[in-house]
Amino acid sequence: MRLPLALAALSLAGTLVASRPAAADDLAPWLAPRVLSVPTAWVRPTTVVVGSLDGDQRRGSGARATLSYAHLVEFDVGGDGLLTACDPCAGDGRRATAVQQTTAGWKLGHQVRPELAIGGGVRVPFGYNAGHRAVTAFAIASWRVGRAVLHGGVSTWASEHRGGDGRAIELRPSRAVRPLLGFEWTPPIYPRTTLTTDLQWLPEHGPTAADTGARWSFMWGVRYRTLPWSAIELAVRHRQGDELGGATVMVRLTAVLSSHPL
Amino acid sequence: MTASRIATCTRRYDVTRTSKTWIIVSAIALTGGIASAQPVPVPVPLPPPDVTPPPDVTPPPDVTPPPDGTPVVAQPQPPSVDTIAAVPVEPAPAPEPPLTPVSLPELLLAPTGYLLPAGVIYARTGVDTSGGISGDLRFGLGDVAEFGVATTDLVRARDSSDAVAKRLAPFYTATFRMGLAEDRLFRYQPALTLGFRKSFEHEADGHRTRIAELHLAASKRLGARASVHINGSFWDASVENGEEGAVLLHDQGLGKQLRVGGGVAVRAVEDADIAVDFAWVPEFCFTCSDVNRTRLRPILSWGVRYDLTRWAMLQSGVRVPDIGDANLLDAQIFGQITLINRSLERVVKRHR
Repeated sequence: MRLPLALAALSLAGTLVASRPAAADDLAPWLAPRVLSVPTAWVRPTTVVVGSLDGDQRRGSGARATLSYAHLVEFDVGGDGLLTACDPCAGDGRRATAVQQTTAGWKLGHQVRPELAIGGGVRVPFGYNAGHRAVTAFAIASWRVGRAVLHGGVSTWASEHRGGDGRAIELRPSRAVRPLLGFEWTPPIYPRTTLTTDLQWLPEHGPTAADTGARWSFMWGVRYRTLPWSAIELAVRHRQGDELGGATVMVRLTAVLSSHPL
Repeated sequence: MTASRIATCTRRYDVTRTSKTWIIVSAIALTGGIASAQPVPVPVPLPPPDVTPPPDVTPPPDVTPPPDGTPVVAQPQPPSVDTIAAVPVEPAPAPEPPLTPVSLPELLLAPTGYLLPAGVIYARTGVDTSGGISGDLRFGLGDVAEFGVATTDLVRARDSSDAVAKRLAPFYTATFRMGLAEDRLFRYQPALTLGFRKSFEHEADGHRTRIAELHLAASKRLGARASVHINGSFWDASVENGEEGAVLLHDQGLGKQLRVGGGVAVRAVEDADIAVDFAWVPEFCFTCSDVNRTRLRPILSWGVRYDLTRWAMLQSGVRVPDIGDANLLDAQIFGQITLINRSLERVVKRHR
């Protein structure tokens, strides 16, 4: 009896917070390092640390700390399960699992105009993770148009893992160049809420070289800015080859620590 | 009585004149000291200091006792400018001459043509995502040379040609560089440095390895925001085990020893540079043929150097240790902090 009451109270509190008057229209734009999983080209104009924690219904989790400095650079360290391994990789019995990787990212961004930024970066793993590793490189542009933000670019990666026969399987960058796309829209009537969606291709490691390749990953969700320095995101991820029921639902909390007012 | 009054007046006049003389001398000394300590705004000449005493000089209080022996109480008087100037104050220490910015001896990895100024101590420490730790400590000698010791995590070795290369660390080296500053000989002359780097012997898995590098580096500023750097390096290396003796790189011919590197730095924002450089690092293969026992591998690095303070810089970026094979898998993200100490340089300049 106590649990439903607590849930109801929590829901009520959340509703009250979410239904505050729309006085936050003057919030500074949310220059997030990522749309949902696709990197953006924004780099914050001051030295800040952005921390995020996420979890999903498959007991996957992730955490990342991002340091922006010099109005040019973003450096991050964290872990996520974006890399997947499959065995078997096709058919009704397809079974794909997330491979947790601890990675570091480095991005160089430049604000060409107030509404346009371009950037590029690399994400590399710390050593092997269960015999898997993948390095990603990307170039991206972010363009703010009114209350919408468009993100577009390309990414490539190199990966290596042990196949079913124990031999190393490598993916070279020349075999895997794919687009990166992202879209954000903040409706005028809900200035604290942003609808987000992104699409990218990610490596999936199979037991053979033929099974190893790029698969798309599509995410959509909502970001709600609880405070000028924090946000909560709810999102759904669909992967190529998975059924609709195989989608992943995730929640992410983000906070910004800055020496300057946001 | 008249003679006594004349003597008193004469004494009073002498005291007044002596006081004025001291005031003028002190004022000249103080003004000259302060003036000589100021940086001269070349080429604007300074006007000659005005040492003429103002006409309304207030005489010092008359402390001459009256002839009747009545004690005299000195009346407080408002201090005049000359009175303040005459107070025996130690002359203020001369302000330090402005120090020129330090041009760093390395871009990200490639050597530059710049040398550390005399007395400057330079320390750089870095880590990267492969778990390597590096350090570099240098000292500027007389504006024409520098000496340093370093440890690098970039030298690697593999057991066979298809094995995974492993880091040889810590790999210690010592460096001596000498050269000329930019525009020293003639206009548009780039900064030039001839440097020699020699490793201490490193032993791992029963193999003793050594490297040596002679480089000639040139650097030239392009305007106020950019600089370009180029270097030619001449390498030698040896791999030795107990059975077959040393296998030397210089036995494989000049083509295996000579390499060209360099880079570009651009001041993108007020306090940060974007830099790209290209350098070479030896890699050993312990069981390969003599021809392939030592190979020079190209490294491409790019990153940002951010001026945290006048004496500390933060560098971060990406390097691809084997860019020749477009091997993105070995890419590393690195972070470095550079500290510059100029205390000794100030002491040296003060005593010159």
